[in-house]
Amino acid sequence: MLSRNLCTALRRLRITPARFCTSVAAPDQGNSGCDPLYAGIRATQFVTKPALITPEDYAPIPVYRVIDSDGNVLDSTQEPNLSKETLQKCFRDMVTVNALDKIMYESQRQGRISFYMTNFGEEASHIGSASALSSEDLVWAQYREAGVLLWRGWTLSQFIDQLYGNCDDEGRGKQMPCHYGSKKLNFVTISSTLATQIPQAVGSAYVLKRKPDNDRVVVVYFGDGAASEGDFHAALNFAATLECPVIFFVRNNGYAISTPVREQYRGDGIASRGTGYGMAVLRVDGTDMLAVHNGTKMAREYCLKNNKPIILESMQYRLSHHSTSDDSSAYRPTEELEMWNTTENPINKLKNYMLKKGWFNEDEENEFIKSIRKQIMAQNQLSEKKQKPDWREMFYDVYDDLPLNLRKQLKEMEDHVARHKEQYPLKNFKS
Amino acid sequence: MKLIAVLLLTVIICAAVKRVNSVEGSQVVRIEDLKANWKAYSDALNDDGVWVSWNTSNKGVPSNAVNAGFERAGPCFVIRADHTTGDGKSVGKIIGKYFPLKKLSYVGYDRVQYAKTSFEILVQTNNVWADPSDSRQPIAGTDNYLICRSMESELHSPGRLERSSNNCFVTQNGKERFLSITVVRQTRNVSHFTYQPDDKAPIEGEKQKMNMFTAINNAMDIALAKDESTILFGEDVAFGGVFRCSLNLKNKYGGERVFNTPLCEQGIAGFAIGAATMGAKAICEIQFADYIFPAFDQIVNEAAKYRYRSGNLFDCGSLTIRAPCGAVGHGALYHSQSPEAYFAHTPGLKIVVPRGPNMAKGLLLACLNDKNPCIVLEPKTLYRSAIEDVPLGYYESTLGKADILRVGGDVTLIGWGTQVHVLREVAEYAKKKLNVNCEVIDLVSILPWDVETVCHSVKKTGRCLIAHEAPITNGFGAELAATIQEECFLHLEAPITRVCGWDTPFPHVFETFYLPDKYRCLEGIKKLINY
Repeated sequence: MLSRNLCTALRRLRITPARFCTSVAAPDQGNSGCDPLYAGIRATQFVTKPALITPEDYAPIPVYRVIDSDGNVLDSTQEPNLSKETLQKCFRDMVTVNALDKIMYESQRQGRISFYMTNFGEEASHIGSASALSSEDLVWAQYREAGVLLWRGWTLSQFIDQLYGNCDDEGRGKQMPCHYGSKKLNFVTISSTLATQIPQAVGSAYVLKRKPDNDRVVVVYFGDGAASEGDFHAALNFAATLECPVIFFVRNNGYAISTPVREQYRGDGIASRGTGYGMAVLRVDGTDMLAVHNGTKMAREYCLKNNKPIILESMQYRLSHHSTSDDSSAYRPTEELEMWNTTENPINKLKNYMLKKGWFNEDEENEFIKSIRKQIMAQNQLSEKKQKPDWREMFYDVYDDLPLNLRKQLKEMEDHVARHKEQYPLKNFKS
Repeated sequence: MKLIAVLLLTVIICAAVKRVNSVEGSQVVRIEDLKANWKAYSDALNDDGVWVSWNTSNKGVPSNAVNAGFERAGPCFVIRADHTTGDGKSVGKIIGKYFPLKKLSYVGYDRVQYAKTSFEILVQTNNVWADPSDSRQPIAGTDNYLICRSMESELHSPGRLERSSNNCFVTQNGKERFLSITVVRQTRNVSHFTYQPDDKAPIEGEKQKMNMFTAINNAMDIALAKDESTILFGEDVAFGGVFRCSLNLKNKYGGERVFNTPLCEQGIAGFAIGAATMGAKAICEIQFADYIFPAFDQIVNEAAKYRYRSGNLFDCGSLTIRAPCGAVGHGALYHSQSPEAYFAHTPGLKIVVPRGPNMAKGLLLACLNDKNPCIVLEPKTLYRSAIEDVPLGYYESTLGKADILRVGGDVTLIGWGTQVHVLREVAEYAKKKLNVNCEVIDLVSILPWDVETVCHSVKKTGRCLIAHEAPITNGFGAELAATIQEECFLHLEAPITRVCGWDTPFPHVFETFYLPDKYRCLEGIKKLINY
């Protein structure tokens, strides 16, 4: 304490405290504490022999699991108290995302929609996290989190209308398929640009923190690839220094398009970076719905109680191609998928757990899948037939109103289209 | 992409239908070979597809088999099979369909449906079905027929297209029928232009047919072979890049020279600047021009100003940044932008946009050899659709030089990249419909740009139309217009006209209405003439 005051006094005098203090730290006092000397580091000590600290010196961050692949609970104290109904909703939402993916992927292959991104293998991370959040918590997603939106109650018609960009798409046909968003469900509209949402989420969390009796957190989803962007690092540093209640939910799924994690980073996953930025971290098995659920719940409580951020790293595997524009067989052997498709498959794991509890009725669930497939196919036909929005919609929402230049351009295009009706697919668009 | 599901079925018995059965040429492979050599077939799979020998005792279908839709028997896939008539005459291979769930396959011939147990199934990774009225180029492949599918209420059946009538021959309920409304198998090309190859090659010598990504690949291959210091990197570059430009280059030159970087554009640009400063020839790829903005600081404040700020002690002239740009039919806000104007506001950079394979190769090699940092914006829609005979040897296209692609005395049309092809078509149309002779100029080089060629032309014609995909306000057309009016003021017969993207982000389903298409350009010409 004395030397802290001394250093502060010296700083006021613009004398470099480090220099001064180093000189007083006699060599034979190698272990003397150095708490007071430097701003911005933890209490530590001087040493008289240099020693490198290599990544291996840190203990690896463990992966938290609740069940094994056969559905056995590994530690009974960890079993979340989810009701049969809740578990059933979890399971059904997971298979619904799965069914939606299969049908819409094929629809893209058939040329009915222009693009699609599937969520195979990552369903547990969506549902596990969504089920542990409050529906008031704000979600900033990347583009592979369809399950989160489904959990919150986005309907099949809302999904499929967006995929077609038709007149009932709330995004009004502006964005590519899979760029969902729902104000009502606190799910900010997705952008294709990677990692841009991460610092934005921190800003949102800061505003929440300032609200009296705040009971909301922000959760921002992104992948191992996006975590390489500058925005990610900016976000972590802002969140730590400005003490924002935000969960950085990393879907570490092994690949960024074709780039494997080995070529993406060399640390211990993404979570290890949290320590560097001075924040808490937790790593969970992303194929274990219960572990993701518990982990998210814990992270949420930590954020709210301390007004601090946390990295929640969910370890999983992208069974999907990156998108319909990608063919992953060009860069990864199909054998690699085997384990993730079977023993580590999140849907199988949850099913096994439910079977063990006697809460899984095979016939009922088969019926459910059948009926959900039917619903999706029917909705697909319906959404496909709907017209696109009025093409004039193109000019709206650039600003809150239509400024003069856009009014003129809209008029110019209206006149042009009127003169060349036959050249534009007007019948496909509302008027 | 606008597929109408409810279509009227018209059964027309047509005895005199010309049959197109010859299907020589397309690759036929066994599934084992395809599985073992997927990478080797990757181009073919992405282009016209390959045919895999198959039979009804095999399980399911090969992955990426082309699905034509659903019928009552479940999903159906495109196949073809040899057929011999009752009198023993071989009629070659006929398009048909396969239902893996029911293990049923059929082809149709002379209004009769025939079951087959052995056949070839089509495998293709980027198949798209589109309305035949859509002006996109359907895949003809090496076969002399087009594969199509009919759409009868909710049922989609594959068949072959009768080109003269645009009718689709399909087999259904034991018969071969033909349906008047069809959808044709297509690559996912943008609809608003028809690619036109250059008339003459840039240099003499041995040539090879190449699409634009292959020409770029060839240029980088030459660059890597020529100078050991050359390195090539970016996101997903190692496996060939998402647009296949760096295909096989890692295998050829090793992972130390051709490599993936972490996903970080500012990192890529900064790393490239540092490498270039050390004298290496650095080719870096930004996966989409839309994603170049995190690198804006590195490019604008660093690369562009390196030489100037150090009094020429340091430079990063051996840096070349490649980025796919422009409309592609379905790219929406973040896979369609043309950001040339942002960078054109930055002294110290050179910016070029190729219009096809020959130029893409020549410009890239010129940029690599140039002593200044260069950005090559490659219109992504041309990667596959633009095909030319490209010389195999080394050559450079001149930076800062525009190309006059069509000589005319009435109106000067200026564009770059994909838009050049729109303007070529417009010029043809203007001649036919309006008897107006247009001079078409490909600006090629955005910075520095060829004032001399452009102004010489405008002085001659007195009328000028500039067209680009980027939004009109502060697009590069604005700079051209300002200089042209300054240089050619007394020669102008009408105000300079710009036909460009609107002042909005690039929209998804409204792309057709957004682009400066041929109809809008033609209107612009009329306005100029009638002024």
